[in-house]
Amino acid sequence: MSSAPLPKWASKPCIMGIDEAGRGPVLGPMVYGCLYCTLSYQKTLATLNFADSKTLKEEKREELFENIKADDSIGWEVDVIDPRELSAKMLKRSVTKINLNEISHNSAIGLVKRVLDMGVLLTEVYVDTVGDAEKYRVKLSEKFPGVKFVVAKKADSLYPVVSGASIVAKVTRDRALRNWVLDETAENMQRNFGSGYPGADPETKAWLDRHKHMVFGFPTIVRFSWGTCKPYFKDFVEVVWESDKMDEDCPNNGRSKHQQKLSDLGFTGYKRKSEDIESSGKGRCKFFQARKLQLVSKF
Amino acid sequence: MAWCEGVEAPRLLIAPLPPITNKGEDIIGNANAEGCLLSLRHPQSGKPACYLLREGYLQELHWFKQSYGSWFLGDYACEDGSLYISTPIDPIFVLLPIFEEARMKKASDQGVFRQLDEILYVDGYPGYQHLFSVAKDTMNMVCEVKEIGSSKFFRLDNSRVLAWLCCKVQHLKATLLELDKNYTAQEEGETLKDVISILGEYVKDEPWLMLLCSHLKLDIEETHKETTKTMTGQIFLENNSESCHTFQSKVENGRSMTSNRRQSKRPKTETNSQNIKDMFRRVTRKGTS
Repeated sequence: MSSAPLPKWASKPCIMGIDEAGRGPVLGPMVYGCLYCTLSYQKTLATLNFADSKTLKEEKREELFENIKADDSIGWEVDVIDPRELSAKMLKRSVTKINLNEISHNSAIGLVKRVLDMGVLLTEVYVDTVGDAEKYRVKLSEKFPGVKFVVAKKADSLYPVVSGASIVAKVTRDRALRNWVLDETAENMQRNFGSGYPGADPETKAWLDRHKHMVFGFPTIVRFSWGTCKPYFKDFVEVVWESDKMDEDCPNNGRSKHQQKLSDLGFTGYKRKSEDIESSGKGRCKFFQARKLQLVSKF
Repeated sequence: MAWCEGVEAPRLLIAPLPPITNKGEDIIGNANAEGCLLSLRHPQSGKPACYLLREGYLQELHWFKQSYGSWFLGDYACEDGSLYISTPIDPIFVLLPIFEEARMKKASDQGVFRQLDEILYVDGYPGYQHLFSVAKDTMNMVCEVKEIGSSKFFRLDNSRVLAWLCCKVQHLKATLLELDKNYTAQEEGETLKDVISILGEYVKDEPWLMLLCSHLKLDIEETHKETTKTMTGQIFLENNSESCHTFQSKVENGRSMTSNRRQSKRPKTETNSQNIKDMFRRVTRKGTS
């Protein structure tokens, strides 16, 4: 990411902008990026034409990112949030569940802390609104008392530091998605994800349709907690979890659906037919028979 | 499956760690313990059975399976829903039939003393060779041991086996009562029957279970048609509780063979004059059953 030795200008008062990329789509990571420089360098930043990253073409964004990296008077950092992390945090049980806004806030806070810990003299930070603007500002100010926070809507079009951060985040996200290594080793996995918005992009919708799985849902690049995934779940196999049976406030309690066989769901090619087999403890004394424990002649 | 390359079909085995004491305080599991699977003769049936040896602790394997189930292991699914568990087993159970055969006892004598390496040679079962130090450390509890120079000779002794079995009965009874409220509810006699049936899975009917039952004055209502043989040379202990006590002291005094209190109780008929050489026959391997 950033180079190791702290530049001399970092001990002068600095400003930072934070923005995110990939908050909406159902695929891939969400990236938070920040960009910082001295207060005096702000004027120069304005001339670099970052504008709103969303309006720029991909090649232009890539070019601007390279310029940022090459500029010794600018520092930048990213926090890449894995889709599995998003799914896991947002799908936790009600009490421990962490919503997307909180995940976003924590990421921004992490970036501020990281830059401060490096020794950069941050005095002003500009961020885009996430949730209630004033509450967010207060939360940030309480965490970092020496820093002035400005939380504004459309901050990326108002403040060059934020537009710059937006570019850093967007390019990082695009590269992460392009270079994504699929965990799954199944055959016929394709990479034509589209934009990641199944509602608007037919390519994404087609990809989801082609990569859905009756038991496992989707590959881990997909954010299971996303609303755009929900329509697919009704076709999937219902799974009963023992821990849910014990959990009294689980709504699925008592719903005893008939157990299905994998072969009914189109799974084929299994050589072993061991699913019917069960241990009985036949021929053994009452103690072992009751517990259906059998001896092992060969492991 | 990519995650288990080289393995044909992954299965799940849960095995407890052999204990190591942490400076004599808490007993913690030794996570670095390596183990090996041994194929040994099941002590009751004589058929091949699977055991796990880890750091000198012997464990037996059990198999449990419900129909229509699989395992999630980390990020992957294991098709075979079997649950294999290993549980600790007193190695004396496993070694008892081997030592019994080795002593080659006839009705009229006590059998012969043998060396461990001979005893543990079992045709078709090289696994017993791994139990050398386990046998050395545990079998003196149920054997008479003689040392000639640097060599040790073992001969299984029925009275000690009986005492050991009686201890097992006590332990099992106590454990069952703790395990299940059903056992506390039922009569002691019924619990005793359950205990014997469990033990019957680990020791042969003849001579051991029969010996135990007759000592406890229980009817062995099992499968065998033939009447219980009366064995000469049996030592009848006074009662259960005492048997454990004397058994304990025997462990300490294991070495002192001549000053054995028990010997005085032996009926005179069984010890004919014996040439010491007869006791220490070096039997050829072909001779062992």
